[in-house]
Amino acid sequence: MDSEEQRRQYLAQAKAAAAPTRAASVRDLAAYATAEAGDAARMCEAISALSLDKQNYQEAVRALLGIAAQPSLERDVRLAALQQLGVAEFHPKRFAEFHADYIELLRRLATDPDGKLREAALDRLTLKNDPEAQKLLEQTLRKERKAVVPHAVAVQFLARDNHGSALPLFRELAETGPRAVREQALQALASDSKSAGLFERIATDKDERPALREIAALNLSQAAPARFAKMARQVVLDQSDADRVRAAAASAIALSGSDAKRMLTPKFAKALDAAGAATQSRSLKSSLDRLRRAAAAKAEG
Amino acid sequence: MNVDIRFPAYDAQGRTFVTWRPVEVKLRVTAAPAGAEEVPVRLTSKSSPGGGRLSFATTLTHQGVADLEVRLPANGTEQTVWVGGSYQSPSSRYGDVSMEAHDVASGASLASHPLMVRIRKDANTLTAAERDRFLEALARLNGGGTGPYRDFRDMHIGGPPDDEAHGGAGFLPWHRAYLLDFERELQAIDAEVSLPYWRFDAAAPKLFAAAFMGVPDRFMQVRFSPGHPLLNWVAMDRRGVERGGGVGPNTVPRVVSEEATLHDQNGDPHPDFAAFREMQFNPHGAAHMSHRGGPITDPTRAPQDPLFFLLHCNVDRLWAKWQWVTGIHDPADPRAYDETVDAWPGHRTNDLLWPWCGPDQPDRPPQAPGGVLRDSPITRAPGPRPRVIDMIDYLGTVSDEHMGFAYDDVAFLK
Amino acid sequence: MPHPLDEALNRIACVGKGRDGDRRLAAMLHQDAAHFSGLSSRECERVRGEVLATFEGRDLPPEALRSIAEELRTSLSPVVLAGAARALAGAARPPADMRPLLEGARDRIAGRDEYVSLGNAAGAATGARTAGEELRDAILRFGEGPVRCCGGASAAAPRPDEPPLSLCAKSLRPVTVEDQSRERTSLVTLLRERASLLLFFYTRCMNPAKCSLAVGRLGALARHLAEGRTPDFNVLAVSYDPAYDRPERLLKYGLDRDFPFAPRARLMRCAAGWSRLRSALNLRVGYGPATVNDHARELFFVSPGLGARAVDPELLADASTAAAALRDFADAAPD
Repeated sequence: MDSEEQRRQYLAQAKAAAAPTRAASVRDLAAYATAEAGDAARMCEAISALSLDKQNYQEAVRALLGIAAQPSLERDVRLAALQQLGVAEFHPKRFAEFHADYIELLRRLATDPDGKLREAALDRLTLKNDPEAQKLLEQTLRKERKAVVPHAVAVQFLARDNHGSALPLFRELAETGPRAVREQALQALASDSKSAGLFERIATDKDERPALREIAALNLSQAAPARFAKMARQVVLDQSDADRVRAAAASAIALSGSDAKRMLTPKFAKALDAAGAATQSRSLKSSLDRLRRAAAAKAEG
Repeated sequence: MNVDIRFPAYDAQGRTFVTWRPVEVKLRVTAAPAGAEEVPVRLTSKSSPGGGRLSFATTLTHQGVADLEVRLPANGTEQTVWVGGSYQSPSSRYGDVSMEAHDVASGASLASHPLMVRIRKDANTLTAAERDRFLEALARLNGGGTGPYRDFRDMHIGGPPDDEAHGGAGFLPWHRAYLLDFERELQAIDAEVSLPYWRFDAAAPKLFAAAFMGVPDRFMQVRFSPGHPLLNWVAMDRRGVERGGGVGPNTVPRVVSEEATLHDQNGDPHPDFAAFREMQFNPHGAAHMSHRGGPITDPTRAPQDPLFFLLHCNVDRLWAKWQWVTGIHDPADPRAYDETVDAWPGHRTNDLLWPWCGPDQPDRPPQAPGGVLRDSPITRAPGPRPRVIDMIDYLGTVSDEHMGFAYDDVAFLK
Repeated sequence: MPHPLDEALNRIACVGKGRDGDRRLAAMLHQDAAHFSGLSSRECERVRGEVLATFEGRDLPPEALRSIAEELRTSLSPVVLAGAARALAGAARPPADMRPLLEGARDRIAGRDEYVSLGNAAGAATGARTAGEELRDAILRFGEGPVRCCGGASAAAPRPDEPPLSLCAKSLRPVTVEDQSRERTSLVTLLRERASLLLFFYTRCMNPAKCSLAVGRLGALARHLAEGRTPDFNVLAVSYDPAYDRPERLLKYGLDRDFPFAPRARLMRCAAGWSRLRSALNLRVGYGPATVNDHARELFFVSPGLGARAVDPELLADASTAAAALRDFADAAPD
């Protein structure tokens, strides 16, 4: 279609479809807040449609802070207010005057009786490396206080601060924690060179779950590239090993730096051909292809 | 007899790339038959199935044709034609289209020049091969947390850099430069890649799948298919991607639609940039928050999730589309930009954009991660140190230079 | 067992009044002090904020003033800046040139302000106020017009020279450095070749006004030296985080900051002997479980005879001034 004609049609369709929609105002929210129970869904809708234009911004943010803090309101309504406050945060200059109150509110919600609100508040606080939230989460992982979020989530939230103090805890949990916690703890140790031994042990232990071995192998590629190169070569070619772990190792070699790429010799490339022909796994085939391409690129210089 | 076809620029491997915006191509006859003054030549494109297509014209216009006859001087003097991608027929790989020149009289082939119509596409429509190339380039750029990706994270952090990127009038120009810099880094890894966009007012089942941007579990851990390149994604020393569960494969996020973003309540396009740029909250902020958790919901952390770049690509596409529906491309047009409100340093028309302006500029953040804006082998625009105003006419509708990108559903209209 | 953070706060609370107390408090700001060891960066900030706030109503020794100026110039932490503001607001005669630094700090944290409870160390927490409010109060102390300075050295100006150090070649002999190209050499051999400028940094530093900026500026100085007719110098930056900052990371970090790598311009890490180097230069760096938890900005001139002098890192802001100072230092060095 001619591009001018397309533009005309686009404009005509927009005109025809125009519906007089109106962004919600703080007054709308107040009306819902005082209405009978059962209006939570409509209030959530009004909150997400709340105008944050320059002229409405201050009033809207104040109202949202009030709604999120209000224990008598339904959880979904308060969560919707938190979400819309997140939208308001995308204008840091306008949001600046509310920032301190917002953080205070989130700190209070971090211990709210409602688990979803706690998790939402802790999510936002730990994205800002908030020390109060970090302290709370560490205490729960050390079992010094009752859990405020599932332990796997606590590990994930704490891992957001790469200058934090929870690394020793992650090392311990990566070895001894329950399944989901171990996985999160290993993800959190990605750059911990002191855990290279642990990564190598998990990555090569066929009794461990493939998902865990996959993370351990990838971590090793960062923490100890030379050790990874040696280990990955064996894993990739070991047809008795889990496809998932072999695929991860193959991709990591192809995508990583010079240490791993040194192994891409013509002999190894030939072995890859054989490995590719022997597997039925599409993802492993695709990862081996990627590695073969990397080997070919290396051969070409 | 042959025809020599020369595009304005090539990369180090001798490849060239076009968008919808035509470029000036020089044609020259070599070894013409003796006695001839002119040689009639037919220009067409030859495409592989599903490949790109070209259009030809003798002036810079959107009204190019698929088949153009030109008369080239037999003495070898150069002649100009304008060649661009044929709108809505992008390439999916290099060389899936070639520019062909045939002798009108005999039908003999005189030249065949491969190229690529490289266009930013809806991520949900990428072929598996396009998707995989993009993901691999993304993973290489991240380099397990140590690649150039780190600079893009550091450009988009809290504190003074936040004031450069968000809140002000320059939000859209800043992010256009940021995405272009990012895309050019990807293209330095794999020139056939362009940045796809996440159309956040529609469901995107192919995008929110384990093979592409992954599927978050109940712990906000994004799950990928085995061997997926992004398994090795590391941001802030943490492996993997975290994202809340707000958007699944069939979710239509609760954000202002494309039509409502571009138009007012009467269905007329917003008359000027000042009215249009309120989209910074909704759909932009709302799209971020639609995930309900994880770094993508935080302005200073969002680039930790690679989806961020696809989200912002759609924000930029919406600006491009508003420019298209209104026909406002000229940076000198007062409707094209607005600095009457929220225009602190870095947001005024002629301000240099940070960090490409370099460190230690007055009233700007002292550091400047990433250096100047990466150059492109196929175009000089917007230059290494772009200003706000330089980011407006991205297609070169008014200017002589284009920026080397275009969207699959936003045409060039001269 | 009490948490190390609580222990550190208790120690602050135990510092007595008087000059000795003031000096002890100032020493507690050293990033390498034992009470910071093992804390996270956020916990360090809390301790730092408390130490600074404890200066409220006390005399500010020059060292404390320098720390306050440095925090106001670079910190992104509400609690640290609130502490610095509290110390100045309560000072009898704060130096006038602190005012622009206070204003800069107020603007820098405007978007990340929060309530801070200071005074907990002394068990006398005042009502929580925001860091922005603390900074505004401190600015008000200066009134509308210019404030006469207390007569002492300006804290915002380059810091006075610290006593020169004489590095011990024998003690530093085990220190091996590795640069961005994986080239290893003895630090002593390197320093003996010619006068050197030694900057400390680490690639994971999250405060862009510290390491990132300093390495960028160091690169500008290296270019200036290479372009000029200046006698040759080593321009070296050494990582605080040697286990993490492997050569490929150093290379990447330098390239991103346009660092002009050359045999005399390098980014390095200690492949061996880091603790010796750290101790020889009394580096103000502390460590948490993951990485550096806090550090000063540190720059040294080192002569071929291993005489070393700490210099103000702000010197790097202007490459030609820094080059001239380096030349002067080399000319004056007895060797």
